[in-house]
Amino acid sequence: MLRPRLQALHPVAWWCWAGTLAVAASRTTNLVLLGLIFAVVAWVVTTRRGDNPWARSFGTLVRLGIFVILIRLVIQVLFGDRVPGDTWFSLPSLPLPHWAAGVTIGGPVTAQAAIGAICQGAQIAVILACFGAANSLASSFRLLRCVPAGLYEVAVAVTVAISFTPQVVASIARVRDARRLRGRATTGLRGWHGLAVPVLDGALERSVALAASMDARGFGRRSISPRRRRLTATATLGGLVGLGIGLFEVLYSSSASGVGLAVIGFGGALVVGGMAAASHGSRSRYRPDRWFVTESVVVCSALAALAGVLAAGGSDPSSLTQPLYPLGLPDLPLGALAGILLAVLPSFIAPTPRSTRAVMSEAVA
Amino acid sequence: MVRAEPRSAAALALVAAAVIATTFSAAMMGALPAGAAARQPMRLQPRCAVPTRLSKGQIVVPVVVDFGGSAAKLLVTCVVTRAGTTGAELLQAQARLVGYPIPRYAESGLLCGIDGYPTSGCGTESGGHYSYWAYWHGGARWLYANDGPGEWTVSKGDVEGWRFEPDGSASPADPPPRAPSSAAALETASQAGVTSSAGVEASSRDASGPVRQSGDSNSAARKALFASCVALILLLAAAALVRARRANGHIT
Repeated sequence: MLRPRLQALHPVAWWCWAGTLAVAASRTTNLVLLGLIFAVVAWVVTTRRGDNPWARSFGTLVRLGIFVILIRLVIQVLFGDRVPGDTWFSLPSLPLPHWAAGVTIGGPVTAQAAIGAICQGAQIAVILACFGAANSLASSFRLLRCVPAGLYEVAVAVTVAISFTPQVVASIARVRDARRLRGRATTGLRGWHGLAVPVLDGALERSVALAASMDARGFGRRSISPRRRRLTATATLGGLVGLGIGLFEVLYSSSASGVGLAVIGFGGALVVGGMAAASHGSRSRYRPDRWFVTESVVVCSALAALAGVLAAGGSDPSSLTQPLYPLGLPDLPLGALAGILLAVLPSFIAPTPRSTRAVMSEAVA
Repeated sequence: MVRAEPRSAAALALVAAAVIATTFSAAMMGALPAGAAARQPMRLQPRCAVPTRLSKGQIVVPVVVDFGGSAAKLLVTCVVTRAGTTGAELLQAQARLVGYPIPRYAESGLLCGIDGYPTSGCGTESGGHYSYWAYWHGGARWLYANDGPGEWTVSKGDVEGWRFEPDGSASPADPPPRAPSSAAALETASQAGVTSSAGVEASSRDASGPVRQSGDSNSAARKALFASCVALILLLAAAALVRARRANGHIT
């Protein structure tokens, strides 16, 4: 089946692509691998995003990531563990009583401490960039339409969760425009002053308003008995909680544990069962998003990056970390590098989004 | 603007081949058998020699490194230093004196390896137990340390103890180093006088060979690869930035 003209890439494909890259980033503190993931994501975003307000999400989250790195570094220098190593400089330290062992204020700052903090901050920054990329590339409104029927019970929460970040980004642009019209500063520290509260307030309000209006128009209404609805809702919610706990267990612990996988399996079965029970009766969709080969390729390209990183970690765990003792250049696991480079494929095969201007001029003609 | 699906199918095949190749190579790597640990009977004579004459301000701190588990290996090193030195600096001095790799730490500051052992991993958890280096302070008896080696400073009469717990509970219930805890019991006067500032008495010193080679035979090729990776990252990021700047005029 050929992809019709004007058919944008499925939003779920973009989220899978970005999420897989974020998981790959979460397994490494190797600055070369993290930098390559970031560069690949940045290139795909700039070549394949549209011209809608939420396309700015990537830039906003990259700035947030830089802020995270700086905060991590400052906290490490002031209050962090006194990581031993090659001392760069010493801050005056405050002696603390014996019962406060393990807490330090000031003291020697080593190259190892600073570089380790930067690596850890960079990891979070790249994960944030992946999240921003998903928000930039996929429309949250189209993603909402893909929410399975089982989740309709928690429609308001899902709507707010999905649409909050794009709303924040749109809200920043709106508030800055308003400030510019009033002749106030829009750049620098003074520009940020007085921006936070209206932005967060406005974004949450808009997300809740969207959820309320969707609810009012019948989003999630189904003709099934209340008893059955309660049953499916309980199964779905319980399964989702299980999935969350299992994912945390698997991603958090360094060694893969059977308990986490078992909980994921159990939760997944509950969710699938609940959704199967809930998808009773048919519901028509207006111009549905469809899944083509291109979508599968986009997801597989990110899976290749994850597989490369996991393979490098399996053969030599130290190749995924920054060598600190002695300080040196990080390893370059070829499999991981090649896998991450494959993740740039969407920038060549994903459909180019049509600009609003082109759509408008076509409509006029 | 018509999407060419055959192109995508070809790309899919490429990606699938890459995924299969990487997972296959990972499986091959994981299948290699781990080297069996050498086991030797325990024969410990935990003592270290102390120089008879010290210059003003110098103190001697015995550093006990017990490799724990079934490894019959224990190093006692007398390090000549000054009061106020941190435990981490003492460990580094100990590694230099016995000619082993310097301590290895994680990014969080957690001590992962002493004298090159273990070569990889850091406080690895399995079933609620951890394999880690436990830190002890000597004296009348061994006390489980409440602080890290980077924060603890030594004074005269202190003893530093480390024991690797292959299956520890990460609590004071873990066993202390298998050596006397007081400085007096650990030190012997050196016959050689001032020339030997440190003595090492270790049984089965090269039992499990913790020494790690750090020589890079192909460092030139590695540097070239590193440089090309960095160049690629910068190129991609710069291209993305230029594109974003150019597009900014269109995004409203």
